[in-house]
Amino acid sequence: MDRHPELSLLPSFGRGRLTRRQSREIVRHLLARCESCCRTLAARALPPLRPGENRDAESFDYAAAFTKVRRETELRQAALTAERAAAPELLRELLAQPADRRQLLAAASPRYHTWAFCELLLDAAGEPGFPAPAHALGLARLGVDVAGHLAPAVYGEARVNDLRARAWAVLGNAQRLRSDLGQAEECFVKAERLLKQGTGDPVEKAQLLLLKSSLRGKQQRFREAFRLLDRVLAIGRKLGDEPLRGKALLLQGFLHREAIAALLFFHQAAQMESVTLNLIHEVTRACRGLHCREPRQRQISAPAPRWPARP
Amino acid sequence: MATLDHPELRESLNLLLKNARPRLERVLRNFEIPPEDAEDILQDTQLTLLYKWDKIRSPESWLIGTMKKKCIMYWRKRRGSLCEAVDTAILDLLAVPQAPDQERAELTSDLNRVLSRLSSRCRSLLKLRYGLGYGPTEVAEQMGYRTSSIRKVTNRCLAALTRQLLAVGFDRVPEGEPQDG
Repeated sequence: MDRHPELSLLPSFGRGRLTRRQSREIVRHLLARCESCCRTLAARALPPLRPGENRDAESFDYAAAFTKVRRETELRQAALTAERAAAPELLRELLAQPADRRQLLAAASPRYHTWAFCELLLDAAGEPGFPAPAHALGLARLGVDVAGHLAPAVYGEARVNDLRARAWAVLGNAQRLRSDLGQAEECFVKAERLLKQGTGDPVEKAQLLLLKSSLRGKQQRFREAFRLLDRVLAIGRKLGDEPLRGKALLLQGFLHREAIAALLFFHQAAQMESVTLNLIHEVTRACRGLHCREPRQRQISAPAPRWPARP
Repeated sequence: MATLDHPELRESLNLLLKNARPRLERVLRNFEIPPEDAEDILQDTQLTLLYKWDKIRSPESWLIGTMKKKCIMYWRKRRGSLCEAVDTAILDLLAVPQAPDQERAELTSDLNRVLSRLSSRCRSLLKLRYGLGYGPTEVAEQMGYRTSSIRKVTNRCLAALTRQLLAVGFDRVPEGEPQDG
């Protein structure tokens, strides 16, 4: 058997951080059944097979880690508070400019490239909604631009990807409000791609799913819309986030109404038996689903769907 | 909307982090995260909470759930890096062009001994990979897997191989072998 590899190299090997030559030598050594090296490496590199198996874990001391993280969090908190204080004024300043200059300014000036300003823009883009879809679209576009300029080195790459995903989803929603469903679909594809490279935050995902379900509703792809909302409900339940669940239930109610209205329209147009059956099914689902979907958790009561006017 | 601009809400974040510390420590200990790596996981989780404070309605559940998820991801990544290192090293060892016959025969014999302890499905897959030098698409075709799923199957087999490699010489064979394929 070859001589043992240096003990100090084994932990780095376990993390895949050695050069190819060094890894090759260690693997060759392990293949030759070196029991002591196997034991050392297994203890340092392999995850525990069962919780509590590693007795050393009892003596792990995390105090230093908590202290360092608290210091770092306080620093970031101070910076974020300053950003948030400056953001409303920046937004006013930007909105005072003519619409065609806003994008240029937002791209050129680093003053706008902050997390807080981007969030404020996106919140503002989500607010006007129905009354002013064109304004919402403009703000959402600015949000996408600003999110694209955020520095991953400052905010963290995964977090920036989350915010970029949110920006694209808000833009997609604004496109939906203007009934540009093709563009909206493209925005949501981009948003989902970015979210996959994000932090994995379930709240962020739920917000995207909520907006996407609205798009699916508008596209009359109701089955998919309901499935997305079921996922939002599951996330809300898991996190104990009642407002999130409330939003999902309200949207379900709204979509049931839309689905019934769409079926009534087809029913009138085609007089087809299958449409009648679908209509009966949908009405039954709407009436039962909203009240009986979550029998054990009745704190949130969704309004009963109102029978729509004939289209 | 609640924002961090208000001092009392800033305090509530600090209070939450302080109160949640015992639970967070328990999570780290249960997942047996080495202290030198705990800092990254903690920092990542707490900074994400800070940046998204306004959007998160139940911060404590969110904090604990996210920590658990990050701990799972930590080990998954560690396992992945180790398996990748083992796989690359074996491919490199087999690819050495002018290795003496005896050395080559010893390597093949050692490798076969480890492979013999895997499930038949993993053994066949890894023999195609190491013995015949097949690429993932060829392995998928040969073994009747879909190309989209071959990566996942190969990763499972590499994980089993790595476990066996480190278990050679041990009396107790680690459990979890049914996961081989």
